Amino acid sequence: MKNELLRLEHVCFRYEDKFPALKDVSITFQRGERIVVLGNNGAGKSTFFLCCNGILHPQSGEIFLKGQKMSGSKEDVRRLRQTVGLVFQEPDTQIIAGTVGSEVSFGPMNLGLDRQEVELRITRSLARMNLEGYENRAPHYLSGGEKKRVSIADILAMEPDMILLDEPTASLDPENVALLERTLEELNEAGITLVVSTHDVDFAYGFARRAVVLSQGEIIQDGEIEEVFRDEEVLKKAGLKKPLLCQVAEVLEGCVPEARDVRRPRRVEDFADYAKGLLGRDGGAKGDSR
Amino acid sequence: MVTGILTMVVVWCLFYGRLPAAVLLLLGGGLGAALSLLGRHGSGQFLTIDILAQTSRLNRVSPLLKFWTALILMALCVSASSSFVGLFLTVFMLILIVCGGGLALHDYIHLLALPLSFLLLGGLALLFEVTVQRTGVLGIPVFGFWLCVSQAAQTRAMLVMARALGSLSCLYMLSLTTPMSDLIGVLRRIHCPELLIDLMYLIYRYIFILLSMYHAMRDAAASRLGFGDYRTSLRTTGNLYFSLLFRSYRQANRNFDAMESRCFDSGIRFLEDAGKIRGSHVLAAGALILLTLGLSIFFW
Repeated sequence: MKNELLRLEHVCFRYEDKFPALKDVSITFQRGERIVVLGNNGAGKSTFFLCCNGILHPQSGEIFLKGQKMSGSKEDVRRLRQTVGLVFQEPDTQIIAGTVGSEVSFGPMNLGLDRQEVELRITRSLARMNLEGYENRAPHYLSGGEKKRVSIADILAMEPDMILLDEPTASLDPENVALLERTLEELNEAGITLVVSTHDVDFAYGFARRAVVLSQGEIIQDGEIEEVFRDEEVLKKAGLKKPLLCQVAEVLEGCVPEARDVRRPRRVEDFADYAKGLLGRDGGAKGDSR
Repeated sequence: MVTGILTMVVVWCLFYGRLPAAVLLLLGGGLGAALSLLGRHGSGQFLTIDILAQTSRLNRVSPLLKFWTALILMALCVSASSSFVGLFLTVFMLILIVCGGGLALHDYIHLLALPLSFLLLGGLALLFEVTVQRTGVLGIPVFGFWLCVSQAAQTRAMLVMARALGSLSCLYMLSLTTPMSDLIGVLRRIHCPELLIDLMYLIYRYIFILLSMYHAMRDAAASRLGFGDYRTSLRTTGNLYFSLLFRSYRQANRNFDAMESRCFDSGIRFLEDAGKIRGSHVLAAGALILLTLGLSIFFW
């Protein structure tokens, strides 16, 4: 397929003397998609990301980047890591430099770009993450939210086609989660494919079109997010809760049968229209009976 | 406080017999009181110097320029044969760091107090000689012997202390106005071995990671009464350091993964913003060096 970005085929990974962390995982990511990866702790989300980024080498199975098989050669690994960026869960895992500017320069410098290009990329990615004027600040005196933004800017500076974010909403306050959501929206609109692992189902429901559910190293569901959250069996197996809006919609559908024909809202902003439509129709029905 | 009293004693011994007693009392007492009052403890944090360097107004002056200026001034200060050069640099750097860099005076004095107390103790050792008979300008009888201060010893101690104080001030000028990463950048530019530079970057970063890990674990242990009595404190501290070691290994692995995921292969490379060397800064540094040189020749 022309728009295919990354494809995993029958990927298995096992840590030393442990049960397999990934069992026969096959999945395709298209260009421009926004996807959430759901699953309880230990389901294999982080391992999955590390395999996609070429940090862990699967014992069996193949990875294709833009239709090309990745052989594991140095060249291929480099291309994979440049095209598929990975933002780690803990910003402190990622940050190594003494100033934000040099921190962001680490990736582009490793790509062997010239000074001018590196400078340009630093400015651009800091601006994208609202970090203008932070070049000379020391990362260890930044707040958690700022550190998270630095760690995303790190990856943006490498200009990947696809970014994997490992639980980006964990340990962020609500304001920073909202900011992150807006940022991810912008990045996706700029054409970057986003794959986000999260426990925050409400965030996931608003953000993604497609959801992948991992359980004990296996993909047990992969599809449109609304369908995934209707699948009671999968939710139970993966230990997932339904998003609040999903629960509310179910209650409304119970009370107002016509609601079943209306598309469920996935964001609070859409909920107003949804509720107005339903209640208006409901009011109309009452008017008819009078 | 200790430094204040020490200063008083040392100043008394240094100038005894050279200045009238009233002036001596005023000078010694004044300096001692100023030190103990102004040097009152601010935050007293372990990482103070790092924070001060980050916030100094002089931290955008080219680190390379500061590095060489500090080095040359230190060389001049140590080779000068008059204590005026050292005293001049001490006063000049104090004004530069406090007025130019925007550092609070009491913070600076507080930072100066610790090395100063060592310096003064050394000064005392240089001043006094143990003799059988009383000689020199000042003598204190101790168990049949005399602790004496001669004029030659006064001059010598004065010179040594002034040199040390002056060089210390130059070093403080560098370290209190230059963030660590800039300093490492300078070392790279003067061709320190790559391996050392990489290690320095990582160690600097790790100080903060390990320290915050340690603080979190120590607080968690304290909240479970892990430091209740001496025996438990010992055991808790042992356990704490063990798990710190274990966790730092794991953290190192994860950090390495994160570096690899950004295409790290060998050698840590950052884009160093060297800080443009400005003409006016070079002129100022040049003028300062010439002035110091002039002083050391004049007072040869």
